[in-house]
Amino acid sequence: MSAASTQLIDGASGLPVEAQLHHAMTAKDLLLVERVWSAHRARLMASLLQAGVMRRDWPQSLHWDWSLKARELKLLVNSASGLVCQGEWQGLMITKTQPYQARLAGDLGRPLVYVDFLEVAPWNWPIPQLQQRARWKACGSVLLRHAVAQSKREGFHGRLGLHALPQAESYYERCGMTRVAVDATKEDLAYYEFGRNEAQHFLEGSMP
Amino acid sequence: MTNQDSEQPTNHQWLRRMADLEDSCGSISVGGLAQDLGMLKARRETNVVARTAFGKLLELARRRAGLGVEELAAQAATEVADIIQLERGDNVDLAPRVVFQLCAVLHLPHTGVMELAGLTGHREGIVAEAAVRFAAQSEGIEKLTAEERNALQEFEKVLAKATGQK
Repeated sequence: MSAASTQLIDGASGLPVEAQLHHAMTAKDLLLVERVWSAHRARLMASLLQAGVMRRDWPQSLHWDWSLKARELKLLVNSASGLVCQGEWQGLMITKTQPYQARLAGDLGRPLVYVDFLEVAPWNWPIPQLQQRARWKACGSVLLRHAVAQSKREGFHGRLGLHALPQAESYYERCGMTRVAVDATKEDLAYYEFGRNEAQHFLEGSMP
Repeated sequence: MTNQDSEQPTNHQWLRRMADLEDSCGSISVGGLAQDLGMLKARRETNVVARTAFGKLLELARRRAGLGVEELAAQAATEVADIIQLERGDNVDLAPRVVFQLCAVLHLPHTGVMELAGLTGHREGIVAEAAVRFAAQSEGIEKLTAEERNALQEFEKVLAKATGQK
């Protein structure tokens, strides 16, 4: 597993902090991360129940249990990356380059990087009902930036697609991604895509 | 900007902007893989009466066994939050394995309980009728009253009968 230096924002001080972006993680690595995250998710769930927060307002990935999916995960041939800060895994991403193709009119049928999974550690979720603020911020964005870079390296000019959970739609829209369709074959998740120009604006922070 | 540029360390202005964006939007979760692995499927809907009865059964059997929620969760190898939700009658997507383990720990007849939890088909409505009576009778107080104990025993007989019929 190789690593590159990057930075995140410390949620308490608002200052940049050093972090490492690890590439080529294995399914075993992912499950070790999940073991730590799932314990934290269980505590969050208990707190949400205790606080009487309505289920529809819970983080939508709260009930995911990857440990039950270990076998399937091991069968997947993907590119997995993870962010480490202060010795803990802060975010994970899995990308694919096959068999997905661009669906935006201008890029129709061209190859792209598909983000299959992107998630940050549960202690990095802002949950106003529990007065929880993200411990480390910008984790998702740094990983998304890495996926755009991968797309450029592959010669795909930053083209990128993903299916966002409903609670995350506004984030991807504000990153400048285009909402292409709501996919009935994907439990009605909305599909978003970066064309090359939009991806470049995202990298430069010059989104509309 | 070249391909190389996008891998350069992110600048602070960009980082802060994205940190604020993530803060204001709340979530960045992507669901493609979760969908492919069946984790986004709508949770199984069991009817309200069956859920209420199952919740009461679980709570009374746990209290009869002198177990706290955490102890039961540990012994049945499941989550504390699941036990809390089940006892409240929430719609929890239960794996058969969990019901089996709960039954083993609490000495409940597993086939009837599986039926009650909506994991197997209903037979002749016997369990459903008993579930309505049980859900209506039992109250959630700390110590089992004589009425609660009777209600629990009666319901267990029906569940055991359902088990015997399989």
